[in-house]
Amino acid sequence: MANAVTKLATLTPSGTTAAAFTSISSAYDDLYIIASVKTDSTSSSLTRATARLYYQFNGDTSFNYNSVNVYVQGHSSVATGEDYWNSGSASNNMYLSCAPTSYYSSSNGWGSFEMYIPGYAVATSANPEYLGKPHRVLGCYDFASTGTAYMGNSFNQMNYGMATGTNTAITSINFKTIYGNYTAGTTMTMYGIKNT
Amino acid sequence: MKRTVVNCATGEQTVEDLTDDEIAEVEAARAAHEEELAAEEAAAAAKAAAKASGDAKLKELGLTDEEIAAR
Repeated sequence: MANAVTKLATLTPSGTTAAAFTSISSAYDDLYIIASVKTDSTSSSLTRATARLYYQFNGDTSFNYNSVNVYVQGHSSVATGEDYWNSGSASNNMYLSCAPTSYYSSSNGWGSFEMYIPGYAVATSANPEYLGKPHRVLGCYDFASTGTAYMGNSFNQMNYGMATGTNTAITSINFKTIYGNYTAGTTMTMYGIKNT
Repeated sequence: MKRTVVNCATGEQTVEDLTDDEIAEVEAARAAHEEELAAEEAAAAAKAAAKASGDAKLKELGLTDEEIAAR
């Protein structure tokens, strides 16, 4: 399995609203992205709405995206924890609830996510299995305000997404914050995976 | 508004301005999320009020706090 996973590039956005991988090679089978994210917004809200960023493939900003999201929010009391899901109608982007704001200044207040995109370079016409480039994202963040992390302060997301307007190889991915700009220390690293 | 871009072919990272259309898109996304947030907060408040009302009625029927919490 030597050379099965190849690092393609690392983004280190700071003070910008958007971050993008461009000129993505089609030489691999799958893409894998891991990221650690924070924004400079000072919003005090703990809801997933303020900790969001969103992403789009190949610059497509039309209503060509669908996703199913499962959210689990921890709490010190199980009874008041929050689990829910949504399955949205077509949107012009897909959300990630893992970009906490700088209101939580502790070192725990960082979000992380991983995104796996199989068959990212396969044209839909060549293999309908990859229609809409189905992919999955796992993300979480800890909104501890005291500097002490515990499960009750965690927010977790599972997302299955499709981009029905993306019928050719994915050559760029854009991540945009909903509130504020990325802070220094944010990193997003993309890997190409060869299955053979 | 600006964007950090990394060219995966060269590894070069640059910063560029968003276009007017892109800025409008980000602002629209922000507005949409604020609407969604307000709706979520309203729904949560309604749910909490309904729970409090239900708990009070159960108490009037003679249930203890432990029995109410165990539902």
